[in-house]
Amino acid sequence: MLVSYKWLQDYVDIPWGPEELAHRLTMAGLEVEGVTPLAANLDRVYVGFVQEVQKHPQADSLKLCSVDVGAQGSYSIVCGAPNVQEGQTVAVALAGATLPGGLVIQPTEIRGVLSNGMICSQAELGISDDHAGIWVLPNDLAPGAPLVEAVGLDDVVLDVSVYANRPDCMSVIGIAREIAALTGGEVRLPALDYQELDVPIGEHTSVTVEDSERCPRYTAALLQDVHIAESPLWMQLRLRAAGMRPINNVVDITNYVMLETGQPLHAFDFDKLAEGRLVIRTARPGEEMVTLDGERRQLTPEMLMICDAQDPKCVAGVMGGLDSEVTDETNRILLESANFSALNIRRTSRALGLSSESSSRFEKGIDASGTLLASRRALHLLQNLAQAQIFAGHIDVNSSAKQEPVIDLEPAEVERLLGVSIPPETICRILRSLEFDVVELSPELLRVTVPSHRGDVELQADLVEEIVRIWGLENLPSTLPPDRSSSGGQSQLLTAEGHLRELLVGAGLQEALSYSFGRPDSNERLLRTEPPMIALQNPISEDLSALRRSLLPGLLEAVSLNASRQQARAALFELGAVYLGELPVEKQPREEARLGLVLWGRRSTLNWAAADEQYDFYDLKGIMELLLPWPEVEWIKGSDPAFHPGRQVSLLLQGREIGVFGEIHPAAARNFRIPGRVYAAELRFEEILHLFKQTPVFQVPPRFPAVERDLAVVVDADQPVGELVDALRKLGGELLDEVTVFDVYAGKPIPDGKKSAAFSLRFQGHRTLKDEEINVIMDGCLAGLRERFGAEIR
Amino acid sequence: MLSKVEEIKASALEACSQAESVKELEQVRVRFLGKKGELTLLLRGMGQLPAEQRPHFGKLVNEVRDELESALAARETQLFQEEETRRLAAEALDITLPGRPMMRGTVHPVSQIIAETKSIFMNMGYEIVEGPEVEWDYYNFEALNIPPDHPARDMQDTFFITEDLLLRSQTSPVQIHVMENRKPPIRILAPGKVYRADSDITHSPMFHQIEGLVVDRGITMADLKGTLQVFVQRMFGPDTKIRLRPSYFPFTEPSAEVDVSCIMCAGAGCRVCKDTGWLEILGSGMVDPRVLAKVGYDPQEVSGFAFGMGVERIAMLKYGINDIRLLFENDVRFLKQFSSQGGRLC
Ligand SMILES: [Zn+2]
Repeated sequence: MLVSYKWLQDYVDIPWGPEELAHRLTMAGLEVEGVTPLAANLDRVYVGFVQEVQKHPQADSLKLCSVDVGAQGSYSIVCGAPNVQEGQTVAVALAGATLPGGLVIQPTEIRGVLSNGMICSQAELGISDDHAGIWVLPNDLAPGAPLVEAVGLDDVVLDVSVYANRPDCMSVIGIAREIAALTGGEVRLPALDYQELDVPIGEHTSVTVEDSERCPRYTAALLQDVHIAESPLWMQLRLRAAGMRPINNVVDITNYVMLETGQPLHAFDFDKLAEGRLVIRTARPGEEMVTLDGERRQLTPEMLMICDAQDPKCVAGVMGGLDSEVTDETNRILLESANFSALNIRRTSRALGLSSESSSRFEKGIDASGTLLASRRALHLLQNLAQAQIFAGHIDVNSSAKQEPVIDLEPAEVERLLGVSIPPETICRILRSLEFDVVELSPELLRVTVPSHRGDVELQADLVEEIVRIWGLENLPSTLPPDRSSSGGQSQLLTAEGHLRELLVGAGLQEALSYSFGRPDSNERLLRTEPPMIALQNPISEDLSALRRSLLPGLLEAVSLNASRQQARAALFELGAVYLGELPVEKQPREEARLGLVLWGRRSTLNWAAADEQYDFYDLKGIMELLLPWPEVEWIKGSDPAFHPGRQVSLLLQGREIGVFGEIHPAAARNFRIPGRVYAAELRFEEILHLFKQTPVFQVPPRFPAVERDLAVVVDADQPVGELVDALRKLGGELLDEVTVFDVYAGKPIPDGKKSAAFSLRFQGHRTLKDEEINVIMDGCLAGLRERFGAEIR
Repeated sequence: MLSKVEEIKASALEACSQAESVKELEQVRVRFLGKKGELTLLLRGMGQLPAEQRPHFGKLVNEVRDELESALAARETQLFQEEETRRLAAEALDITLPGRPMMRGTVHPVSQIIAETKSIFMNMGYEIVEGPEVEWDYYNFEALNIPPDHPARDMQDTFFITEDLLLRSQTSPVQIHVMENRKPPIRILAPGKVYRADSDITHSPMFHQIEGLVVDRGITMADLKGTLQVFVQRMFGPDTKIRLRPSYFPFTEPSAEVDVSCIMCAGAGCRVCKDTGWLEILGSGMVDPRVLAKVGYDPQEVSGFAFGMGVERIAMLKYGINDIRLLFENDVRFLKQFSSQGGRLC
């Protein structure tokens, strides 16, 4: 809420300047987000009086004005505004002034005539965006006076952020109350007095409330002979300072009183109301009405309407109707000051897509006891500023319960929650300064009555908050909780995540983070036909509309982005959940923790010392071997459609698939606009947590010399070498410590359709091995390979 | 024959000093000291001398041989060193060429902040807890004292999946899960992803929060202040100060916004803190008694505090990142900038 510093001063003495006030309010829970001068620096801008207006000799659209600027002298000024006239009091910028838009005023020749200044519009002075014509000031201002002081622009606007639980602070008086609590001062209420006619209001109109749940209170007053005009300058400036546009004195007064008291008001042109009476009811099916903004609104039976004998005339608490608005011809006015259910206003405002200063107050919940005060205040102003005659009394249909709960507060409770003892006298002083009524039943028990405008206070804890925010949170000591709770720690899953992250970062990969939602066709882009993804009802875009079932699309998007940004490589991993549910969604989907990784482009940065090579399948397999060193994991040929049919591995643990890796199918890579080959893996690492936990069993390193032998064989070109390794492991017996493939070769002199594979076998025992026994084993190995795979020694 | 000895000695020492390589030196050794070497032959011919001269002669030859051997050894050492010096000089490399590249992995800045925070709180005895991201309305709102149509729902533009299921808009529902399943004392920290329908340079539809909750007998707001004081000093440096400002959250009462002295300017005022010297980084408060009652605790017996912070906001402040969306683009040039932070990855 925007509020003028001077306006606040009407109701409470403020011992602080605007900046200090802003700080004090912020530290008491009313955050002031900005402190800005109402007007920019307007040095050398004065009040002037237009003595004479002549036609410009060279241009029909321009006028030559003679302006009296009091002690500053008289000036001849060229003015192009259509509304300039003799006898007007205006704002004049003289040579040396710099206007908020940056325009520097200096004597200028305009079409052959010297102009010694500028008659300004509100827009040119930065007061509003109104640049239809010059700003015509009241004639009681003295020419030559500096404009800022003369019209009260020497003010500061505070932008107060009011929390949802404090609708009472959406008003100048509400903020003044907070200030009074901080200073220990008193709030001065504004004038409420006015003269009434002898005729009671009841002789001319009636109000029927059909839905007292949606409308707990409706207060109406009736006025006649209202003189519609502009509101006074001071009121216009305060409305503008609050971000509202002046319209006419009646509308301005209703807005002014709403800002002042927080109670929204509405003025009906009484003569436009059928039968001159109001019915407060919900809309009938199919009813429509045109709101003030000119929109035709379809109404539903949940919406509360202020109606005349026939039709809806106002969306209660949200916006008035066009055909009953106050116009220049209006003579009689029915003034509404009502209370509406916050829930109904909220829902109606949402359903219509319509919010207003009024609805934003009602939907937070307003004190129902404030309607009469606001009405009286408006009547006072309407009589003084629009010469209104007021019929006697109010119609007041009131079914609201008196809301002044009583809370018993123990000072010990304050200490229990805050950890500091605040003396009961201080507690009483603070609560009373906030207009709570406090009776000290005993030093251990205070009986606190909550004022009606503080509907947010219900429990002792709420009172504790009131006490501590005024007492000062900065005075709170710093202590630590008594140490009798858990020993801390984290789950195996989180520990495993940390372990994987360390391994992969050590292996040179970068951790990525993608959105949990993506394109709804992500499965299809991966050539997969998995169950559909769970869709969001209200996504921010189609590209972020469905919960991911795999980490691969996000990582492939990342590769695609880096490729499009001329990067030559990407080695990324991501740890995160996928969302596995069924449609229609009836329960929470399973959130499965996964590891995804992707390799694309150059194996390493381009370098003189190494060949410029691209990542290949075996780079990825090496990383997977680093991650999964356990013999329990089975590595078999995979059949995931997202991957190259001949270049993928399915990882199994006790027959269950725990992951897959390989080269992404070129068609899928094309779907993601990835140039070249891309390698990826996805691992359901929840399934292998127990393997992470395994404790290694120590083995004595052998002290006897090992024997190394090489074996090179020629086999069919499509013979998987891994099968030969497995066979050698068995054939080598207990003494065989390790088999390493050190060369695989096809081409001359190896015959077509064949390849050579070379192995290094290391034998190790807890004794010195004899050549003869190794020879026997090697012969057995070769014979075995020959028999099973048709291998020939090379 | 004695003069012959002197003659051989002179020419041997001469040859030794003239040798220009270890190989040449070996030839000198063979020429004089080998099986058929000059000195060896001389000694062998000793039998031709009169018996009384033999001891003297033998001693002389042995002395010469010893002298020659040590001269050869000295020369060999010298030659070896000279040769090695030449070889090393020839082996000099261009040390200005870059080394074989080792690819440096990086932890995502969001993970780094989470890891650091977890570590600080685990050291204070907190247990790290996670909760579901797809959440029931009840846990995300109702149990947290935010009934349907509560104005606080406006502050969080929530993604819905069905009428009752949503993507959690805060990590606070984890508080409810934990309290429903355990009795006090409770001391937990819950990091995780949260979602709000908002996207601009300071808002991302997905971001991370870290939630803390302590419930026990006698937990006070002063404990909250002290705990957060410890946290910010370990996170941002020992001189960091905190400031509590009254605020409003539906599930805490009293509530406080927590500011830290600006980590850029140490409180002097700068662009990042908009010249206030303070940065707002945490929301906190005493758990609202209505929330405690909803999970079946007795608010008269136990009390607690809760706090929550946005991880991206801290990362952006710490690293000076000006657009939150950069964090989720995965541009490798962005990611590689966060490699210099040490340790604490898990
Ligand atoms: Zn700063």
